[in-house]
Amino acid sequence: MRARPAAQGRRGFVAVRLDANFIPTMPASSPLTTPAAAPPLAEVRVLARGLALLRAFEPANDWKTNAELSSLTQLPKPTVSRITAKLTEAGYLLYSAERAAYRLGTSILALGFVAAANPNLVVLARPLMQQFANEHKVSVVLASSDGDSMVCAEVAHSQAMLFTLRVRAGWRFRMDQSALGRALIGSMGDAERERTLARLADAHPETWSALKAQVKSLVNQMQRRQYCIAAGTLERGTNGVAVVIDTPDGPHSYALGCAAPSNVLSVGRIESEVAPGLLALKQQLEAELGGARERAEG
Amino acid sequence: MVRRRNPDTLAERSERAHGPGEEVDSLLRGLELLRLFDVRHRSLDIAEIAAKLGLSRATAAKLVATLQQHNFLRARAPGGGFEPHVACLSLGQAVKRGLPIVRAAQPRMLALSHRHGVHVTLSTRDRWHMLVLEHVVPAGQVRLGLDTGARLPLASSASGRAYLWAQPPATRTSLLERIKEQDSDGSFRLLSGVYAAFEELAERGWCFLAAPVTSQTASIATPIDVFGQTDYVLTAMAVGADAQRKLRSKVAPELLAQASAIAHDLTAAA
Repeated sequence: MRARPAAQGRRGFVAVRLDANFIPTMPASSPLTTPAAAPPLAEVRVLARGLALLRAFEPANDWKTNAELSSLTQLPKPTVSRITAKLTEAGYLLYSAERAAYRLGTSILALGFVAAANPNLVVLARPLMQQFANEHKVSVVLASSDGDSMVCAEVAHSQAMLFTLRVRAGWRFRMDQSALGRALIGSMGDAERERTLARLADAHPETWSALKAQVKSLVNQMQRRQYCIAAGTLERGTNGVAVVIDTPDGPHSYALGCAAPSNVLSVGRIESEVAPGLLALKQQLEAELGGARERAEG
Repeated sequence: MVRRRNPDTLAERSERAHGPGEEVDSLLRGLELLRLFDVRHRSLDIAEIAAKLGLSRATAAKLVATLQQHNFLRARAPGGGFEPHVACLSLGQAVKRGLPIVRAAQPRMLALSHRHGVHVTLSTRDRWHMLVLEHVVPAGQVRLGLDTGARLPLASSASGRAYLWAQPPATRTSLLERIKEQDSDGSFRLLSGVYAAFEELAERGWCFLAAPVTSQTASIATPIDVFGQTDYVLTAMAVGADAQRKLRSKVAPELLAQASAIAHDLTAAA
């Protein structure tokens, strides 16, 4: 019979906890335990044991027997056997009869992976966009490119405005006419911009010459000021301004902009008040995204 | 030989046992809790979790606290609910690292995506959904919510239809029966489309589906046969007005070739 550690509690349970700064790259031979820690009152014991057992398959998901899992988690072998049987029945573990061993099944990827793997700019940005919209009495849009369009990921309208722009999440703007798309074009590298402009020339031949004449100005605006103003190009009587958001996945992944009727949002007001605020919002979001990814990568 | 016990048995039992006063396994409840989070639900609070799982707030709070202590969840700003944390990520990464098919498929998916400017997805079944294992996005296009861990409905996705078609008759019948029972998500109405896809798969080896994600998208999917088992599906999705023509005439032959090559690579490696 295997010797039980001194920290063992009633019914042979050993607290298996992972430190808050745990980096999931420990060698497979390391026991996943911090013996001195007692389980907090709120901890659900069987869940804690199951989670520790699942994490014993990190980092490479090699086949492991019940005995190996017992050693790694310092849980009694009968407990490990019950948990592995349960997790196999539920599809979270695969069992190899030839090896008499287990490994993680693909269903593990349904356990929050997609949400954890993608620091969500939209969730981060939503409250800040609403605050900005209210403060500056504008509509704020977060969008990303899709072919020759900009697709709205999130929209916030000022709660003080009686009439708001007809824009909702999921709507598409023409890249060549919106401040969002123009900011993106102005931020691209030369090769990427040439490919994009070629697509836009094919898609919108009727407005291509006007855009072509403005490309140099867009690039200059973004290089000099880091924002781009579109006065009446998307819709007559509406002014807009946009910046690009760099994410850990790549540069200018998103464009963030705001717009309002020109009598509310003059070019002068954009330059003196709104654009500096938008640049500050860009910096805040990029910093938070970077921090989120760093935390996710341990 | 890997034996996969019926993954639905316990899930169903767990769902049935969620009523008050019944014995419910807290481990599976905790894992069910993690399943609530996806691209549309990145953050949930205790009340939402309790309502979705049919639990009391106190029970939901205990499960959340345990998941939080083990770094599977973390609290957002005060009042901002909880979101999946680093343990979900590292556990999922371990699964991906250990899957030979992901390693075999990645370069071929990239090649297909670059050559034709299409999204390419590798998926497998998880309960009543197809679970994305790997997804390649063409340069300059948005992800459209498709990423590792995303789930697509079995009956209304090209990948799900290809998976169903490739299963042994008894398994397929069982899955279709279950889809018929699930009236709430509209799957029953989709069965005529499912059977049409089966005919297309039998004739051509792939099935086509218009607008699986948005109005301007279309997909084709084919099963990957490895050692006589078809647990995986390879799917190509095109965006734009000419998506259907592009997929049917240009992408389909190469999709079939790449699926066959992936199966060959895996067989040779074994």
